[in-house]
Amino acid sequence: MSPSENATVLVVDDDRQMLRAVTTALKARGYSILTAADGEIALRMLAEEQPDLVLLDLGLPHVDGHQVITRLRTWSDVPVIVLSVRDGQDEKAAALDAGADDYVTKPFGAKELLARMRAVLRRAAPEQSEPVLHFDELEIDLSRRLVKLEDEPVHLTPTEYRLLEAMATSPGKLLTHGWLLQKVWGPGYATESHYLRLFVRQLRQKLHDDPARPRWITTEPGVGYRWLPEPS
Amino acid sequence: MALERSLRLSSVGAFRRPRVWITVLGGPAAVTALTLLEHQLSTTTAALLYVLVVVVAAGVGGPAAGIAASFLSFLALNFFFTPPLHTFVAGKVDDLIALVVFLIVSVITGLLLSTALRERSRAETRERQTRLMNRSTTQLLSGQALEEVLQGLADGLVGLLDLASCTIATETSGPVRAKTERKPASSFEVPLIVKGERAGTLSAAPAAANGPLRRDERALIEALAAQVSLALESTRLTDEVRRAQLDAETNRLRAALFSGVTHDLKTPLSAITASVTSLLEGSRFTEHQRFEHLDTIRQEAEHLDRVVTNLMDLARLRAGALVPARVPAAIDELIEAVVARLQPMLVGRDANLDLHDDLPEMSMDVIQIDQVLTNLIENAVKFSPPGTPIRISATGGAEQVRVTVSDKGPGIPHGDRERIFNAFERGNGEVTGTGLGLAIAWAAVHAHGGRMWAQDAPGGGAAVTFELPTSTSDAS
Repeated sequence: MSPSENATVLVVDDDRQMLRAVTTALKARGYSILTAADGEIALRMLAEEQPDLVLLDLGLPHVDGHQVITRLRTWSDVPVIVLSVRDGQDEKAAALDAGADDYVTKPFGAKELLARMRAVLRRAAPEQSEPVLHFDELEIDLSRRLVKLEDEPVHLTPTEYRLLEAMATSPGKLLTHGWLLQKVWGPGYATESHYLRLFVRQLRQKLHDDPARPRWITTEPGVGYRWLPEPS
Repeated sequence: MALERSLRLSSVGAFRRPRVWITVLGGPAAVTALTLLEHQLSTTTAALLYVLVVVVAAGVGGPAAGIAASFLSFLALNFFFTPPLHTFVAGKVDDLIALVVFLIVSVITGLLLSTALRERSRAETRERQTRLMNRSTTQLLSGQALEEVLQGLADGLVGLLDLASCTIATETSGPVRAKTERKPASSFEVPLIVKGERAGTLSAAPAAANGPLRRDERALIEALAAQVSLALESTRLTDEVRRAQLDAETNRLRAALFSGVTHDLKTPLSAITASVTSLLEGSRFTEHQRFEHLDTIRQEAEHLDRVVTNLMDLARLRAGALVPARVPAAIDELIEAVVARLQPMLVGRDANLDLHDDLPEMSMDVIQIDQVLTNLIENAVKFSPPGTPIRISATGGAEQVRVTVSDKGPGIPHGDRERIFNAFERGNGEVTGTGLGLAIAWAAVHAHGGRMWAQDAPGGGAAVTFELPTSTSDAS
């Protein structure tokens, strides 16, 4: 079904227990695993093996994670998920700027990691865009621009609809404020994050989403939002 | 003061002052002129007036001035009033005796008067010196701020000795200076010696008009300098004692922190180890039992993560680097995200969010404020019975936003409301990582230029509130 199940994943981490835990969890899901314990090896394996996805720890010996991303991006578009510790906020932002696709904060749960992996793999291999998206009892008809929640039509303004479409077509992916603003409002609005906040709030209300127990939209404070569910 | 000043000057020094010259020369001249012009006045009256002039001169200019005035008067009396007139010759034995007696009487009178005045003025000066010494001793030993005391001392010295300026510089305080408008002469410097090392300087510059300092004045300055040295030594000792106390306190806290942290790390580890080993041991568990074990492991691992996060924050706090990395963010979204993340901890409880609509977007360190909210919520959960609600409210204005986390637990006793934010202390006086959490929350809020306090929640329970300014000014 999705391309994830037989994808090859390069896991780069200098901690052997971490490698072991991630490898075990991913193999159980049918992924093929490559591992590298430092940045130099990682870059070589990337060139030789051409994996479908990279899980990259930032704190590597010799060549650190940032350098790996920077060098990698000169010749490859392979999706990269950064594994970062909590207090490396600047590091995280720098990694995203350098070209990482998403980040997972250590310690993380396997479920969260797998969801992020599926999200970036889906984007890397765009599927034939479905005309109608289903997320449990939420239905979004992209061709007719109709939204239904529990079979009841949800009335959205055009902006709210564009926001919902931008989010729901990138499920699980980290959507930064800047990206969403550009996508929904167009260039020139990239810094007007209070607009975004307002419309996200309205959208949550109309979709009966409790932000404290979110079903559809989660907040990544200071960074952006994520469309939580995967299409059913 | 002027009288006293002239009296305390050396006899020759007195003649530096024009007033003395005027008295010494002008007095006899005036008497002579008056007597010559006013023919009714007798020679006897003139003699008496001359005595008066001598007395005044001695009073104003001291003994030398008195003697000078005496001789001038004697000569004037001889020249103008004893025959043969306009000569310095006394024709009659009678006049000669009168003149000599006049000279002796006037000189003695002048000397007696000036000596008496000088004695009185010396006594007064001594008394003032004693008072200055006593006052400075008391102040220096009273633990009053050293700089203030030194300033008082410098002012006192300038007033007492009529100095142009006085400067006291020590190793522990900046230089203090007392100054007048007067032109200074070269200054008299006394080193301040503490335990054989130079610890500062007291320098006193006399006013140029007063001439150099007398020996007794220098002695007074030296005595005061010795006192300041003693005071410096005692301050240094006090500092050493205080530092030793601080070290002891730090060690006590460190030991308490260590045992508290060990406890905080050991507890979840024990639970994890117990669950994992029983799973590995291979007993047949029901699906539910297996889930229970795994869920325990997850929860305790999360708990460990929070403890370690707090410890990392503490380490950064110690390094003095809790500088917020600010990005624009909305506090309401952050609260919602934190509550969403902490759902596993809030199972079976109502988390009531009361977030005002008009909360402004502001610049903050999202991770730090996330940690503040996490620690406050975790604290509320820990100190209130299971199943009771946790309430989180946020209100805002143009100037600041205010967030309150309240629970339905036993509340915080009045006496503990400040102490709970002190690192490593918990409400009941025991030290655990939870106390650490509140202390770190407090520090993060302060690093944002905000404040945090505890009070009773309406209807019972504890309420911890923090306030953040919307404008970005970090605590300095």
